Amino acid sequence: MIDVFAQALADGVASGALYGLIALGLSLQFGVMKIINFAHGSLLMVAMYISLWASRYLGAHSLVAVPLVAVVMFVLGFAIQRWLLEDIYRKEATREPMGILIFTTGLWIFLDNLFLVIAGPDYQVIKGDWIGRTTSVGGLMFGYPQVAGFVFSTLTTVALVVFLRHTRLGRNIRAAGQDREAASVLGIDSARVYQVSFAIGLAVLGIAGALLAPMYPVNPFVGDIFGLRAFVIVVLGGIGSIGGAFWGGILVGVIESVGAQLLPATFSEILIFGIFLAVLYFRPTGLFGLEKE
Amino acid sequence: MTPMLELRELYSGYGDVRVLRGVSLEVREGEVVSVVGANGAGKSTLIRTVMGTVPATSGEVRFLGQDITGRPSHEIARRGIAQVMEGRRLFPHMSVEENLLVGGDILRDKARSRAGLDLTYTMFPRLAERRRQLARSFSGGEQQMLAIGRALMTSPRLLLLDEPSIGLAPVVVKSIFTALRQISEQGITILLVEQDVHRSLALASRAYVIKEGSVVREGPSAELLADPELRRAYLGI
Ligand SMILES: Nc1ncnc2c1ncn2[C@@H]1O[C@H](COP(=O)(O)OP(=O)(O)OP(=O)(O)O)[C@@H](O)[C@H]1O
Ligand SMILES: [Mg+2]
Repeated sequence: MIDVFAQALADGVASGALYGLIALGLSLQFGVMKIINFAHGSLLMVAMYISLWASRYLGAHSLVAVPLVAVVMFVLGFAIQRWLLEDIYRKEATREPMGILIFTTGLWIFLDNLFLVIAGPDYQVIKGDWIGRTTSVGGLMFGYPQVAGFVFSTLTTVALVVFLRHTRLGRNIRAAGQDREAASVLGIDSARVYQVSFAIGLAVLGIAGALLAPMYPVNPFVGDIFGLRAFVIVVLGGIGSIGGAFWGGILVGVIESVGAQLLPATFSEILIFGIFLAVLYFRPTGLFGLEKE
Repeated sequence: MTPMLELRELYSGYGDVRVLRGVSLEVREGEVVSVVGANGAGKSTLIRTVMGTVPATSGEVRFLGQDITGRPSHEIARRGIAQVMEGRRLFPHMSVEENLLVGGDILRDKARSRAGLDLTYTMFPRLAERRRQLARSFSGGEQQMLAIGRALMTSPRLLLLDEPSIGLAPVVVKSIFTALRQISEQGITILLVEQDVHRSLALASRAYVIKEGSVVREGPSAELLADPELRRAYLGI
């Protein structure tokens, strides 16, 4: 019995780190631009398909596909911000960016249906020898993709924190996020910062998608559930906090995994969203009180 | 000689609200020039229009002989104008040192940025003592010093200051003005908007009085201070 729980806890932490990574880009985009990107889940789906196709048509090992997907998503993110969102954003610079919210909602539906046409409705899986392998650590069993997901999610999160804290570009991104006008009178081109931030957000999402793809069958609507989960995690962790997204992800992963041992699956959703609502109500700055980036 | 900064018949405002109505003024290299006027006269709008954060609707802003009207603020900053904003506007989730480094980032040169940091700490030793603290934990005076230090980190030719002494205790105001004098002595040109008319005119060689978005008087500070009608009508002293 103890073992079952220990395993569930470890599974929860492993998938939680990946959930956190999925939420990271959303949190970064919100933290810097104050926009809510409703297409986030769909863009995760896009990343998963890119990873699937890279392995199917290029024969790429799904871990080799990780940097590839990241680069493609970075370029896609840059383009979306530069040619789609920027103008809308500029027009409503003095108001709440409502138009972005509606636009990205449209993008979400558009992408889901576009991939329905391109890829069909069926679930597809990545094939590969390593995917079915397992390893045991201290009496607990882990799948290779699960280990890779945990390790690379954690590394990516740490790398992003280091980048934001210790590089000039990272500092400028944080400055523009904290006070756009103050940043621009200090010589920071906020439009450029937004392009880069959005692109980094999607690159990180691309890494997450490529790590998730070997574990989870892909279909055009696979992003919806993960996208929703990412919103929950961003709120739990504190909007704009990178560390918060990580710990929020772990929390949700553990609730889901341990909850499944005790309760029917629907209950863990009730629990997660119950906590989500409670946090929004009582602690809108997030559970962990970490410093924003 | 062409002035360092020159405004010609400048108009600007917010949407339909017209604030500046044909302001012309100039600041020559090395000068300290003060702009005074009542609340809502358009002083902050004037500074923000120079900096490009409020778009000019007509007229011209010239810096070092070049037309910079309509240029984005980050570009204007890179040309050598720094603004100490009304309300200080520090980055609240950054440490003192990080706030300063953001200013230095414009130089794209780590060594020069470091050197600027040392200079700033020499001018404001209080900042050096607290370099790791979050800026938002500071007193008003310390925050203002940080805001000035951050602007200086960009290594500007011209410094625009929007009410640096507002809301501060008299001794703190005094030290802020001492710092401004030092900055001026280092050769940085200053355009100063201030509520503390006495101190600001004592520091500036010339001043402009603005009312409802227009310049109503200009001249040497001593002359303006001595004019009894002006004292009553515009300066409220
Ligand atoms: N963002 C804005 N949108 C609309 N109107 C504004 C805005 N900012 C300022 N105003 C208006 O423009 C006019 C001039 O404002 P400004 O801030 O330039 O005055 P000021 O001289 O700096 O005043 P103070 O001494 O209070 O700082 C005021 O009537 C103000 O209400
Ligand atoms: Mg003002």
